[in-house]
Amino acid sequence: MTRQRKTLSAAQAELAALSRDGRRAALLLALLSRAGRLASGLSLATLTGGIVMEGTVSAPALFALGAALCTASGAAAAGEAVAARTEGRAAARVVSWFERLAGRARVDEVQRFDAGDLAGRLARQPAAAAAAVVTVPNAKAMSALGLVMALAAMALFSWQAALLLLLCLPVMILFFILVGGLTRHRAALQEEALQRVSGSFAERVRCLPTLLACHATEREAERLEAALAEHEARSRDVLKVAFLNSGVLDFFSSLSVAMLAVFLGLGHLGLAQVPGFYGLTLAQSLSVLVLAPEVFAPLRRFAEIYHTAAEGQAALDSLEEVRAAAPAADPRLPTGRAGARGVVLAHAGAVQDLDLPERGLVALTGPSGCGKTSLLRVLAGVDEAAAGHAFTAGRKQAWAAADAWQPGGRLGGMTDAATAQALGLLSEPRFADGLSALIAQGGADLSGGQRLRLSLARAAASDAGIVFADEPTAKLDAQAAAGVRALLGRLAETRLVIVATHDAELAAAARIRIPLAHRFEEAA
Amino acid sequence: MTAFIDDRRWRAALVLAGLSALSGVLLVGVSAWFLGAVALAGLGPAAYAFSFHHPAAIVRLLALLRTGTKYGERIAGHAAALRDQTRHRGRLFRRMAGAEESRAAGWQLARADRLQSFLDEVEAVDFARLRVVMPVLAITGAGLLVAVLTAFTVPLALPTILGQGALLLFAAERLCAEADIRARKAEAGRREAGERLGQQLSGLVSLEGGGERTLRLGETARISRAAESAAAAGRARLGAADALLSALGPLAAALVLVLSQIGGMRGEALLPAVLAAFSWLALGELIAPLARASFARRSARRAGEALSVWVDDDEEVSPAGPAEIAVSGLPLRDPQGHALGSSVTFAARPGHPVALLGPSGCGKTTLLKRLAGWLPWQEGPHPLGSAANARAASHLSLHDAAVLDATVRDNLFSAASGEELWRALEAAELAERIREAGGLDARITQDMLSLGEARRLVLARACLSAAPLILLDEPGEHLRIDQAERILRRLLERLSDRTILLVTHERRLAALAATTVHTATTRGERER
Repeated sequence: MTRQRKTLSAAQAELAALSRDGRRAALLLALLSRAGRLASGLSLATLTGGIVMEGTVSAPALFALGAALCTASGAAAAGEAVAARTEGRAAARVVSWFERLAGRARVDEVQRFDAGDLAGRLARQPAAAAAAVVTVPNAKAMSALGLVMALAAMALFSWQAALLLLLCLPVMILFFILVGGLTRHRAALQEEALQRVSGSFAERVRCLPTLLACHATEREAERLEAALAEHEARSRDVLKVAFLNSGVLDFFSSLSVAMLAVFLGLGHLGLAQVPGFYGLTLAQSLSVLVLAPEVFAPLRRFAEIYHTAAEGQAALDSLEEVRAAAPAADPRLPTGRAGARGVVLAHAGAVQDLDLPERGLVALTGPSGCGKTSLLRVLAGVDEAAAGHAFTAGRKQAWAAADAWQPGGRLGGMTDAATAQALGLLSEPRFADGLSALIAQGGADLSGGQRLRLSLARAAASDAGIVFADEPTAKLDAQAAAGVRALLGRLAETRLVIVATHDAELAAAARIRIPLAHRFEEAA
Repeated sequence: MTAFIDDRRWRAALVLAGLSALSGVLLVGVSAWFLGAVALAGLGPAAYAFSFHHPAAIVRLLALLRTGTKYGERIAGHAAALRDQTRHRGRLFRRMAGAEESRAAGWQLARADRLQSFLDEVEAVDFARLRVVMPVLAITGAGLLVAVLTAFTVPLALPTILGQGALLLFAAERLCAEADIRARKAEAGRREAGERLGQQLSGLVSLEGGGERTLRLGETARISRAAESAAAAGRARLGAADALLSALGPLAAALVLVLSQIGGMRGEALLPAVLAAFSWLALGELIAPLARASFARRSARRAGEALSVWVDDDEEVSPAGPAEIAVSGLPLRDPQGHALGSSVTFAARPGHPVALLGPSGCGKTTLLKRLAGWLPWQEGPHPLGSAANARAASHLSLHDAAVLDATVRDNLFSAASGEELWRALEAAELAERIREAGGLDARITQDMLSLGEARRLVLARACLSAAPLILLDEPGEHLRIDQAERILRRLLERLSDRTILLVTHERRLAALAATTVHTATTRGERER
């Protein structure tokens, strides 16, 4: 039980501070439950002593037993509930770190994270990190305090017996060290082999379609079975040594009961007059006996959560960067009018100053790589310009693009039949069900062109004052593209519509055209 | 359950588990009995006549027996469970390899989060016997013995103990069921939140540009927080079940003692009752983990149900003749089988490769998978006889093919000689890179290779394939066009005795085939 004092990471410190009261309450309840348990053992010993020696049922002992059992169970249940609630709160805080990062940090900062990895971490790390600041420290504290409590209770009857068990501890620790030295190497080997085996299974499952496509499943199944069989054979040898650790704990816990029973028995018979084991009543010697296993019980609990502790610490360490993300303010200046002054784009250079009207179609045009999309993002406040400023009128805005996220639901919940028809959506097989066609959340079951048109349709149905559209007619056939142009034109009658486009026809319809030339020089 | 009778390893593990439970129970019971006996003997002159050594030896023996059998139980149980694991995973993999789901569009288990929860399910099933069935059987056995002991000493106490035990177990079971409902809710919520977050991060620019990023990610966070709070509620109930069960032992012990006194037993006659009472006390210690076992049983059952979707349904294959494919007016479809509105006509045979040229999303990849027998063929008989025949005859070179975390040799999926393998790597312009990485026996991973390198590895696999029909999906993806052209030309040359069909959106690659078929555009979308 070596305790490592590390400087707390900021994530750990924040969670620890948040859950301090709850953790302490849970620890107190756990201690109370432990006390109740010890008291119930002592009452039972007293009850037995009275019945066997005097033939009477001691009413106080019976009453104490009931009270102790209620305390033990009640406090244990309450302690778990408090610990669970505290961990739930700590986990919610971790979720809010993810929320702050994904929902409010700068877009380019978020995009440095791998999306799939972050998604997987959201599912696992909040609970793991919360356990590391509540359950783990409490179990550590309980393994020490529970041991002290049991020994102290035993010392009430025979300090010599308590001392004897206390002296067992260094011997036990010596055994742990000896066995640990023996098993550490093997356990590491075992862990490695286990990782490899579970890895080799996972790896083959991950690649299954590829294996099928290459006719390699039979070969891989045979290899998998061989790897598993080898792991099995090796594990059997390793386990024999690896379980010695818990064997040592079992040995001392069983032996202490047997040893105390024999010593106390000798005392009762008067065959040996060892101080502390002589002249005790039956109630007292039974008390010592029932307390013996309780000395070792908390140690076992601590050994059980070893894995939780390791996983939690790893989660806390890697959450540091998630927590560090700061919410970003809108990079645009609120001037009451959309536009830009002195904007320089990171890869495309300086852009002319813009003063955009309240309504009308604005087209950003130019060859690929000239910064159309970058400027669109700066104007929409998604990115900050390398220099200069974009302005915002603070109106509600909408964004249409081929990778646009879609809220799930029925088509009819997002747009009306006329718009969907005009955009060519209803004539596609994907929307054969018409307005009741179901769209999965996110929009992964739609093509890029469908996502784009759907987000335009949603923008039309919203009260957004500015609509941004990134290449709204790309990847569409002539008929659908015409529908999109018509819709954009109609929207521009009442709103400001800014498009980044290659489409000459769309650009020709714009009230303002902003041609961006391709620049080769890098911005400062 | 039958495994514990039929199987030698499980039988041994169960016997050891039973012995360890029993010796643990008796150790405490006999020790208390012994103390009572010597305390009574110590009162009078009988002290010197008391045969001290036998009971003391029995107590020591029980202590050693308990330690030894517990150790043996752990080893035997884990050995048996490991063997279960070996068999289970081998069988499961074969079942999955033959299952229709593995060939369907969109392999979900390629995603790290899905793969992890799948592995959790497999693990729950692997160790169900060790974690659930064996402890329950061992405790039941020890419990029966203590009950018999009670029946012989204080029969009056038995009905009450059993009634009270049944009540507590029932209440604990209910709490476990409640805990399980919440745990399931938590698991579903975590999965949903993770999926949403992944999608929202991919569409982050659109969400920010549309001014709804904070709102939508707030919804995701709310789902996630609700899941965490459900998990906490489940854990609290499990804790309550634990706490309830821990009262069982002491209650039964007190009941036995009090009823024996009320029944009029006195002095030495009480000693067997003390033995029974303290056995109940020790049994109570063993019962506490039952709540966790009950919870684990539910997870294992659920995991078993989840895994039972994997059914090997691959049919028998008739011997493959030379693969020739001729279709006429074949409609293009999306992965769900909806017609996309256009059709293709072509005939491919050995030495006469055909290229399908068309924009992405027009149903080309789906067409390859249908020809390969991976997706249902809806237009009458399959051109290769049956879907199973098609699977056996074709090498499908997928554009999203995975790189196995293994050696280069393993990754080429070929039994050919090292020389042959190098020739294929040369043809795919990957030999230099592999030499640098350490040769054919060097370990490679998906992350180590660039997208272009992975693509070339996939082409080297096609080069080495023995299948009569080679289906290439976007062979030029992630490659510079001139390099793609060089590699494809070599590939077509080497495989001139096979039937080759390739789909691409690059005119220059399609031009290398004997025939180019233009797939008409999807309605609504045009070629880039």
